[in-house]
Amino acid sequence: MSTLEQAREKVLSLFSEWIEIDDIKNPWTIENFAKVGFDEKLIKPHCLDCIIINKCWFKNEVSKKPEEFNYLNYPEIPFDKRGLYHPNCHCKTKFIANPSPSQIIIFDLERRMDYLFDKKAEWLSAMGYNIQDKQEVFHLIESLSKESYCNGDYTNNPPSEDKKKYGFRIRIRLQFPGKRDKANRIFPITSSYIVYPNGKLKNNTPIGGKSK
Amino acid sequence: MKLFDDIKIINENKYYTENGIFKGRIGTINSPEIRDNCFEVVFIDERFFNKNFQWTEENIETMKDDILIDVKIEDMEVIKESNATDDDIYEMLPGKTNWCKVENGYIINLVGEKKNKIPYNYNS
Repeated sequence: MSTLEQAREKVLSLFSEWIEIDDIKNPWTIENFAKVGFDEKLIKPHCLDCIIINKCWFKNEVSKKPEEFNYLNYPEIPFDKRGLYHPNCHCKTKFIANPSPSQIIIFDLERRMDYLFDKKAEWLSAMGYNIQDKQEVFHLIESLSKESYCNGDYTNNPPSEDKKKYGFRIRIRLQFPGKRDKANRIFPITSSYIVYPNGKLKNNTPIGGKSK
Repeated sequence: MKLFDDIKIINENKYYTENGIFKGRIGTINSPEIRDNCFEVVFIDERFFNKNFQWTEENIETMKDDILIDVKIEDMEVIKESNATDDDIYEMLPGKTNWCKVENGYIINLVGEKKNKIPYNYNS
């Protein structure tokens, strides 16, 4: 790391609330395998857990980023082998400037809008929306998701072993405004995403539940 | 069997039931690709399939969270086909050779290649 980069990192560490997971020894990210599945021979010696979060952005709070390995129960592991997420892990976290909604790219959301209006039309109707509002609902989910993610208003939804191959999941809380006769109401809902590298979010379910 | 088709669970196992999914539950295929002979399936609140249930402003916040799990092809059957075209599926896949549909007992890709040799035996 150059002196300039070190200085930048130091300044960011004072003001930034966001981190990027960075494994400089690992060329792979979730993007390389997202739709084809992981090739275990190809990714060796790197592990799936680290590949799915490599170059991804998280708010630097316990419940909003991948859980670090707890060495309290493994005192026998030497200090120089203690990586961030597992022994011998190469991942580091680096501070990044707090992201703004304009930096976030959401994909696969628009393709799921037909499904949303097909399956949950009645529920959307209870919030004052109908099929003519599909584009509006799409833009609302998109813009509110970007805003909430940047505000750190999401929960880490750790994948079970079998789901790791799909990536690191989060649930973003949205304060969804009602429309027509429900225009005076705000509905707390969640939208589910997989975190992709460099500020990208892949939509999993446009409206996946209520916000708790 | 393909993206956005509605399916019904016909065989249950421990993994499904631990996730709250039992035989007879209806879901929708959520992933374009087939991995390890599975589609990812989303199961929404069962009340969406109850014709007698009405969502209102009062009960809207009782909607249960979606459940997303991998379901083996042999453990489900299609109950309603989606109108997703090959082009729609291709848009969400990296290539036409990724396994993405099941037809007549064969896992196939968009160029018509078959993954399994014996129909309905997806490991063959």
